[in-house]
Amino acid sequence: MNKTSILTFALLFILGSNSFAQQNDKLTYFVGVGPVIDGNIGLWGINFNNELSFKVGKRTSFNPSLTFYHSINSFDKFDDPNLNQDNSSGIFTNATFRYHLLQTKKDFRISLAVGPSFQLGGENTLSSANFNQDGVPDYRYQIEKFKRLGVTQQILFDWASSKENRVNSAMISMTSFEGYWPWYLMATYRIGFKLK
Amino acid sequence: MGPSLQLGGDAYATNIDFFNPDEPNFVYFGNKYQRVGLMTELEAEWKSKNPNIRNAASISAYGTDFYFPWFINATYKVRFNLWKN
Repeated sequence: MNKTSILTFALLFILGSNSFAQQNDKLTYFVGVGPVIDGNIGLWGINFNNELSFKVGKRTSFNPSLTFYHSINSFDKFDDPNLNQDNSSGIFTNATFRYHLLQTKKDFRISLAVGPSFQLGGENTLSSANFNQDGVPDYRYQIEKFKRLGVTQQILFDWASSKENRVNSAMISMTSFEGYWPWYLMATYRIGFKLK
Repeated sequence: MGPSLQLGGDAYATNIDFFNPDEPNFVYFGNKYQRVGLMTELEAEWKSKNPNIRNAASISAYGTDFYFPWFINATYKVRFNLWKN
């Protein structure tokens, strides 16, 4: 870490240290939806996110979550629908540790979160299309099944809702596996329900 | 019961060399699904000790492409009554 980033962190810490209002936010349930990019094979899709957020300190929380992802389409255009069968999916079980970097007086909050991510899922991709003498294509697919542990990194923006026991949240998450970053890039709009 | 849009896919391996059982030739197939089907659900709901929480269990079946049921789901649900009226 260089000098500038240490200074920046110190400044953020001082700016934010006394601006935290007391709230009943010990336990919040978040539910949300948003788009996904599968950076490995160039697909886009949809994610559904469920998260429980336990407040553990003034600025920190522990967050187990379950996210469902499935691809919808490729970024490439194909005339032959047989070439457009690629798809990928995942059920991600994450447990993140979140730190509130900054909070304004109007309750806008920026936080960072990081934690392990376990994916159950898979991907099917077309590996080749061979044409025989009669011109009939023979499509070959490559199948991968995933049961793997990776890392998720998140940037979160929370802001107050018009309803007292709700909170709005937008999340950008990068989930990486096998040294590929980010394998899945997700953006999720979420509504948080303060339960306790 | 109602319409249901499935976004999904499947992949499987199958032996395409039917005539030579000693030397099977496995080939992979992949499909992407974006299709409308029919979801039917049967649910039972009961009270819990907490008046704001109710429990439910359901069995649902999804049929599509003239195949019913393609998927069968069993679900346990916890219902939270969030806003007291």
